[in-house]
Order: sequence, then structure tokens, then C-alpha cells
Amino acid sequence: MHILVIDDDTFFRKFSAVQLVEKGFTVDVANDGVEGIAKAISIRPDVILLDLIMPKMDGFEALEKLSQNAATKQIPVIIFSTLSQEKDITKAKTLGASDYINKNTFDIETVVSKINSVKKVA
Amino acid sequence: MHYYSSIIGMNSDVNSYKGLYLKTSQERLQKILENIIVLEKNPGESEAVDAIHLDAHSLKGASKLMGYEQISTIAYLIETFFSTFKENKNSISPPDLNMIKDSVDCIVQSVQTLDESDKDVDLTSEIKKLDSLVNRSHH
Repeated sequence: MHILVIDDDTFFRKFSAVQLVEKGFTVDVANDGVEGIAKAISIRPDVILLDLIMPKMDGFEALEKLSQNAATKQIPVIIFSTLSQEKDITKAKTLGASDYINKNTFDIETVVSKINSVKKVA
Repeated sequence: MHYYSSIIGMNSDVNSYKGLYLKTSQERLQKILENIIVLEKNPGESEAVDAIHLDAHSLKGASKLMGYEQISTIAYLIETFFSTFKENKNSISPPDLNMIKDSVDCIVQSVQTLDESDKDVDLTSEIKKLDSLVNRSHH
């Protein structure tokens, strides 16, 4: 399964990507929302992991654009952030996010489980 | 060729990411200090405020993942402080900016110590000072 990780944080981008590769996923990355949308359109990943707080275009705006684009609107998006307030989760889901993971409690098994789960529903 | 398929030597053990954490943290801290210098010259510079907020946010998350709780807490307090100023669009006073700079210097020292000797530096007093500043900035 092909995953696109969109996150401006170099550490977390590599941290999550390497662990996903170890679990057998094919992974591409993008540094911000602008690059992320371009890559999503180009490579059509199976699932997108999207950070919320990013420069140039934050995750909320990226989520909106992904859901409006014919090429990407069917791709499930899991929001990654250290934000854990209910209103941010609600906002992300309203904008089309399929699920939400708090970076502070990152656990690769949970991430894999959620990826498999959203992919089944899509 | 998918880049991350070719990484060798990293695995899911958190300790194996220490080198990556140290490198990316040192880069972020350098950027924060550069933006503090910008704010010293122009206290209302919103791009610098946004950049520090973002870098502190990322530093908080990475430190938390690696188990460096006190560094994560200081980064969280810096993030919160700048979040307040983003909302209020005020200028940051020189004494407050100096306190932030001191806190960043403490993190720099702490990361340096982790790099050289793998020992934690006690940042409790720095956390207390910064916590007071953040609470004050909310009022």
C-alpha cells in the first residue's frame, strides 16, 4: 500500500516514514500542503497522513483542497497533529478527514491499524 | 524509486532516531534564535513570530516522541507564548524576549549535552520561570 506523508517537520516525517516502510508500506513524503497536494495528484497514494500545523498551507486548508479535487477526493486522509482539542478533530472531520492520530502518542501499530481501517472503508 | 525504501540502519527503536532528533532540533533551535534576533530589532515582526511558533511546535512534538519531557515542556511553553502574541498581535517586550531567548539557550545546552554525553540536563527552574511568563502573557 502506498502512503503519502505530508509534514513540514523533518524529524517526524522521517520518523513516521521509516517505521511505515518497516511495516511494508511504500512511502512518499511532502514538506508542506502545497507540495503535498501536487504529489497527491501526481502519485495517487492509497492513504494520506497529513499534519495540521504547517507553513504555506496548513492541514485544514490542504484537507479542503484535497476533498475538492477530483483526483484526490476519494483518497482517505488521516490527520496527524499534536493538537488534541476536540474542536480541531471535529473541524478536520468536517473537512473530510477519515481519522485522527495524536502525534504525542504515536504508536506505529495504531497507525497501521488506522491506515488499514480507512482503506477498507474507502 | 521511493526514497524511504532505501534507508538502512534505522529501525523502530526510538533510540535509533536520536541522531536525527539531535540534528533536526539543532537546526530548529538555530532558526528560532535567528528569528529572536529579528524580533529584537522589530518586535512586531509577524513572520518571525509565526516561524518561532511553528518551530517550537515541531520541537515540542519531536522531543515528546523521543522521551525528552522537559525539553518538550519548554518548547510547549514557548509555542504557547507565541500563540498568544499571534492572536493578540502585540509586540513582545524586550525583557520577555530575553526570557524566551534564555529558555532557548537552555534547550540548546540540553541538546548539546545529550549529543556529547547522553545525559539529561535538569530544566525544572527554567520551566518554572517560563510558566510564569506564559501565565502573565495570558492576562
